[in-house]
Amino acid sequence: MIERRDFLRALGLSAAGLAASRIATAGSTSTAYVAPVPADTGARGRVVVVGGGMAGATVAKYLRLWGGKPVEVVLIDVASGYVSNIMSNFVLTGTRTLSGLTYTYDKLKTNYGISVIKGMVTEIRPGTKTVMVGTTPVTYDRLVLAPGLDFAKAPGVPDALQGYYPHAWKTGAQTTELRRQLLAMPSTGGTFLMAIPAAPYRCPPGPYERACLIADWLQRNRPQSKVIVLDANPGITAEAHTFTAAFNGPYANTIQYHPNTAIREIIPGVKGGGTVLTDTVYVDANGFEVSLGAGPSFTGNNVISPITRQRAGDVMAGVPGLLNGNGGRFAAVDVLSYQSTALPDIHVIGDAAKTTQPKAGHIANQEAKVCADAITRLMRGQEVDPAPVTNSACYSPINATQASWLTAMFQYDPVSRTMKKYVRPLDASAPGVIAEGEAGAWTSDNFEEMGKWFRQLMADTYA
Amino acid sequence: MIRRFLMAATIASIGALVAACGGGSDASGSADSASAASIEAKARRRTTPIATPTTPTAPLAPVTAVPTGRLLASNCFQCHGTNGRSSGGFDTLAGESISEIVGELREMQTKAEEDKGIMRVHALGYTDAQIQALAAYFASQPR
Repeated sequence: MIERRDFLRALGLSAAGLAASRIATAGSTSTAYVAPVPADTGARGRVVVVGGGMAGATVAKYLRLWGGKPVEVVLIDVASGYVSNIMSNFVLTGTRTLSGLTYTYDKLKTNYGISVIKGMVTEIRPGTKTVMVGTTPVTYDRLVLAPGLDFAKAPGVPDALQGYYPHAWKTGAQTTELRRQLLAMPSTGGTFLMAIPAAPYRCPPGPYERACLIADWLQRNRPQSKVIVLDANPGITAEAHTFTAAFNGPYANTIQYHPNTAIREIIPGVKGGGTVLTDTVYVDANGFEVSLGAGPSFTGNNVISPITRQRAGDVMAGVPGLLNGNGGRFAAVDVLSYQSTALPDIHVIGDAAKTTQPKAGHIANQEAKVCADAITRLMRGQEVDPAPVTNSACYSPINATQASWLTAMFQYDPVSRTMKKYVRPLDASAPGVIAEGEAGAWTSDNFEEMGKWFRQLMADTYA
Repeated sequence: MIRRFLMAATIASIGALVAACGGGSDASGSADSASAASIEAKARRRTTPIATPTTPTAPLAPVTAVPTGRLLASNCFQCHGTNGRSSGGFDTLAGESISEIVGELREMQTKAEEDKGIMRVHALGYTDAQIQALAAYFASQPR
């Protein structure tokens, strides 16, 4: 077989030139170890991966590492790279940049021989095992869907003004706009209002982390400002101890926290901001907000950033039966392989999947590994691993220099067929302990570890 | 206009890579239809049956066993590097002996809760058998 490098030279292309892009390749993974792709493990087939975020990139890499060269992997994404949501709150406060958080697919191509198509998957056709990239069909033996999320619109805002109400929960242009609005807040003090949707949503601690970092920035740059946090949930959904201490401690005069409160309607101001009318809500079993009647109104907001209700990427809605979780918002899966419970040969990983695990980049990377392991075993005629383990882990900056963390270990429970938080049995050391926890305090040591974790996580995924 | 050209160029190159891996037709450029056709032709040439989840079928080539503990150990790659080879973050685990790794995890299990480290929680999250298995994987990795 001809060497990949000679191929690319023969085509007059460099690996980087394959997908022309103006995204700066600045995500730092240059010293990462490159694991070898085995010549042959006995697995064969073509896997198409839709979406190059944390889940999609990881599954593509590990299908090659654990499957070998005869496992063809085609990764399709609409962009030339992924912009990390992890650390993106620092773009709002000015200590990181979008280009510094951008990870292209170049190394996945050159290091592991993954084929990358830059394009939008417009249709999935399970009957012919084909995805359509515009008018171009791409067939698959197995399909892994990792399209991430789509978001509901800001309520009450006309389409022409939606851009002034950024959630910035998918890092990119909205992040730039939200930072612009933050900088435009008056020096005499203003009001930044944000809203948190009912769980499940991407990154459980993320919104509270954003509230802290915005409050910290405002205290230093626009003193007298307020941060209003509307939360559709009955209380803080992650790291409750840490964020309660932060909201009641250093941010007591800045952050106003309103649980059980959701935006009913925004009456727009000029280029953003305005008035917010709310409902008092409870959250039903599928994660929908149910109104109990009108809640408080909030006027004179300079910035309104509603993190709206999320759903699996809309390309999945075109496949009947696929979105069979959380009232039609996400796809239910078998967590031994992440195969859809509704359709064969289609796997769903990352935020688009419905599981008992949180929606987050670190655990999406792990779901991808379980999926890649299962697919390559099936290709070899082996049984899937009957006892996968995953963990969620996240460091949360509480201010510009200090961070906390949270983590949980999940083991497969064959009775419920879900990933359950692990409780140590009686005959082990520390019996009865649930393997989860949050940091006792926010520290600069944790902040430094956060940087290490992020660099290594992105290298394991993109390098 | 430009976007379509770029996509056609990208798809053409993908078609070229795919076709050439199979022994190859000319990758010349036009069009979505030529490269889509080459992607499809390669798919049809494949004869190995693809397994379904409930009835794995025997493939036509020798099969390698999955290394013991690899999937468990991969939980650790996010902080300790792919295959346990760190690039300047937390400790490299590749090449450590089984007894070193088992010993370190046992020690972390017994840390007082007020130390509250992430690794304490992770060490408590595995059974003893799982710890042995993931330690065996790291021990088998080159340093």
